[in-house]
Amino acid sequence: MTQKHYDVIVIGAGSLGVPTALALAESGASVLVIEPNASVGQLSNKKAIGGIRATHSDYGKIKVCQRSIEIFSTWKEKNGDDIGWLSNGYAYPAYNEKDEKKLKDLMKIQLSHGLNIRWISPEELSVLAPGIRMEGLRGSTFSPEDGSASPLLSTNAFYFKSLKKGAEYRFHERVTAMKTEGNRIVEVVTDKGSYSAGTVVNAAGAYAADIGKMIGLNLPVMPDNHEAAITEPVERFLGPMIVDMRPGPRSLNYYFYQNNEGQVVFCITPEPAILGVDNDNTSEYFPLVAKRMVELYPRLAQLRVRRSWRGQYPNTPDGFPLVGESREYVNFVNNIGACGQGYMLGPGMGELTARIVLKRLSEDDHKILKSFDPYREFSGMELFK
Amino acid sequence: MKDTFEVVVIGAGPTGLKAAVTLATHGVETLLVDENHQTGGQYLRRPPSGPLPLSGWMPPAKRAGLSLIEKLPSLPSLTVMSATTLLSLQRGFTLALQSPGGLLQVKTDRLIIATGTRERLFPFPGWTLPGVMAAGGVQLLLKEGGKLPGRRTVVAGTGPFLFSAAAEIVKRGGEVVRLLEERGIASQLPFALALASLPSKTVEGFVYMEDLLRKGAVPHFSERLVAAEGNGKLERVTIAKVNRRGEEIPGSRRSFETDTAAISGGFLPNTELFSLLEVPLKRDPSLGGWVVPTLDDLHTSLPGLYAAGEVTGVGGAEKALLEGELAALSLMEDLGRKDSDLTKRKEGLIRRRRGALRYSRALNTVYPFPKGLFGNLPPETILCRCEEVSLKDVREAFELGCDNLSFLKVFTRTGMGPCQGRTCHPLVEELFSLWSETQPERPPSSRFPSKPYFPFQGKRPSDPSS
Repeated sequence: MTQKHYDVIVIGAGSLGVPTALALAESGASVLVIEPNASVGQLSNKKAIGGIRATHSDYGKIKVCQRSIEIFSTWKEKNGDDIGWLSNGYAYPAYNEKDEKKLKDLMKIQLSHGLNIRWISPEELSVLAPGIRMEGLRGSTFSPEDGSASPLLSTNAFYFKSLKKGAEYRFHERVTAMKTEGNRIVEVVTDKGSYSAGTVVNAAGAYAADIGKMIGLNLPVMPDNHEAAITEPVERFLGPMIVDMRPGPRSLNYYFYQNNEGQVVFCITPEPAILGVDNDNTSEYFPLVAKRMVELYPRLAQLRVRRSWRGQYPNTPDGFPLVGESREYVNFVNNIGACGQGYMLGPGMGELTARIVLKRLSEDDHKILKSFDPYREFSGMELFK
Repeated sequence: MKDTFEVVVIGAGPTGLKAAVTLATHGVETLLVDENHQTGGQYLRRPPSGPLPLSGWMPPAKRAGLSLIEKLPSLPSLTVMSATTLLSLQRGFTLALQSPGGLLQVKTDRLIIATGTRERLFPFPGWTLPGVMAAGGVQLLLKEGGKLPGRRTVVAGTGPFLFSAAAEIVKRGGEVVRLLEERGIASQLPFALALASLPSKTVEGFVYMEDLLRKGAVPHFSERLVAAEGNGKLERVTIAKVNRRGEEIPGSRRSFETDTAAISGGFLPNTELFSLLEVPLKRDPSLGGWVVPTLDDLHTSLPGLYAAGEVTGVGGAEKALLEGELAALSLMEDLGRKDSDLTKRKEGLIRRRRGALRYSRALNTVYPFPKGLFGNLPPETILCRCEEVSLKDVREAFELGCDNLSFLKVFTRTGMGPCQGRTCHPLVEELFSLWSETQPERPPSSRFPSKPYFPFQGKRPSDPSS
């Protein structure tokens, strides 16, 4: 039996895999995406609450997300599909001196990279977020060019465009092994068949390390679980994504915004972290953090919560993604370890990964990729995760 | 209030009432929880105040149910919480409840879930117009508030509930302009035979029929409501004849004016709480759809968990009462309360249950989901009312390779609205199985909260949109 050959095989049809396939197909490469689930975006992608910001703390993530924002914000006008983009901005309110200093120090870095971010007064924040607790509020960052979109709508839009550009997808199909010869992957084996490719891209999100293990690589991606919830839609009252940095009992930060449907969507970071993949028992953290939320924003008490769920942050030791060519296998590229930011990094990182595969990296790309180098020493920690 | 009980019973319809009263009568510390503001469920719905309506003729199951409600205050081992929604349920069992007094957590080792049914509705163009109501909603208005939903009512759909809803309307002085039953008269023979084996049911049927015929509301068989129209509210309906396969007969359409339509397509078991506990369900259309598999004594596959009433198969109030008692007796035996009288009673109930299941199968087989109706549905017809997703949207998603509900959600938002798919998922499931010629593998997933809730405060604010 002759085996079908592709220029590129992408493993995983999620936040990173789909935009990668789109960018590759747009460049004329033949692409196959292999995904064990029924469609694109069935794992962490659809669990994302939809926040998109470029206001990170390092050059790489800032540049990649700036490109993502460009793609998200112009998608409707260029391609016609409504992906629910809202240019609602992000706000990190500070209620203590420590947080104010941390945010202001970060702002210096962010401003030096040309980001649109500024410090606003409590009164200004109360214009953007009417009803937010004013007592103790020292001010807030505000980055108006950040925003949000619907993961469901946008990932489907990327998928359909990639189909038009010739990408192929095999759903309900799981990669079970990869055969190697010397320093090359020569065959990708699934539970339904096998394929060969010029390059194999690992975009398997929370399962990225399992893919690495198939060829003897130890990829330091360890997922942990975060909990999200969504309310019934109400009239628009809230502008930006609000991030409450202050830790509380059994939880670190939490953040929320009002999406384009009028629903308020929350995400909570449990403490201590729940490692692995555990989508059950979604009733634990939300009621626990609800008290903190209503203290911060009493108006939330008027809202009814419709559903909750859990999703994974595919974390790396230092909070930065792992993106780049493998040293062990010349035709293996990783686009993994997005640490809960796969959705916002996706479109920009997809294009960057396509340039890695096609060996078309610019000088700036090399500078960006320094932060994501899979062989870096994981000594530091992302300042602003 | 205590936060630990020997047994918690979820749902205070006939099943839950019977289970809780049986347990409490034998001194078992029991909590009975129900989300309605009065006990009794839809079947025993009544005006919110005043004495229990025990006078006059009524079906024996109704009288039995009302006398259970009468007994509730005299049982010291029983705690009843009405207007209380179960938000989450964890194995073990831990329950999160939203009561009028606030959020609370309750623990128990043994749980009886008796969450009953909800109405199955069939889509047609205009079914979202004000004036088109579920027959159960019409019944609620009549029973609880004594209010007629409109002046002229068309009652349409399938199943014996149509007759009881129509009878209720005429009894309260309303006009039933037409009563339409999907199924042909001959195809209902097996149900008539099953009914004949239950004398009280037969009497009930005759009483309804007499009420209807006296008011000139003659039932029309093999007829379907195919469209509703009106400017902002229902003004006109179109009906058509259907053949034995449930396909519309061309050229048989005609329209007339009406201000209300009461629609019903039978009942679906409310099995979401079992899904929250990850108890595997079984799809059996002859029992009403997704049902909970149990042992003969109603114990489920999960230790300490019992399923009773409509959740094990849609079969009406007699089955409900019987299973409520059976679950209570099995549970007491598992608690170590050995008593030869109870065992004997239990064995008798298990035997009687076989008859009740036969009736259930006859009911659901004679009045099945009429798949033929999709053939005549215009593509713009809304399927998911909450998110306004049309048949065309669902068809397009299917043609793109979307073959299950979670896939469809990602494409169309079907089932993501306030009812969380309770109305549209059964319809989409039928469509997918029709189009793909396969059977659905598992029921839609269920997650916390089981119903939308206010997490931030104890009491519900009067105006959630303010």
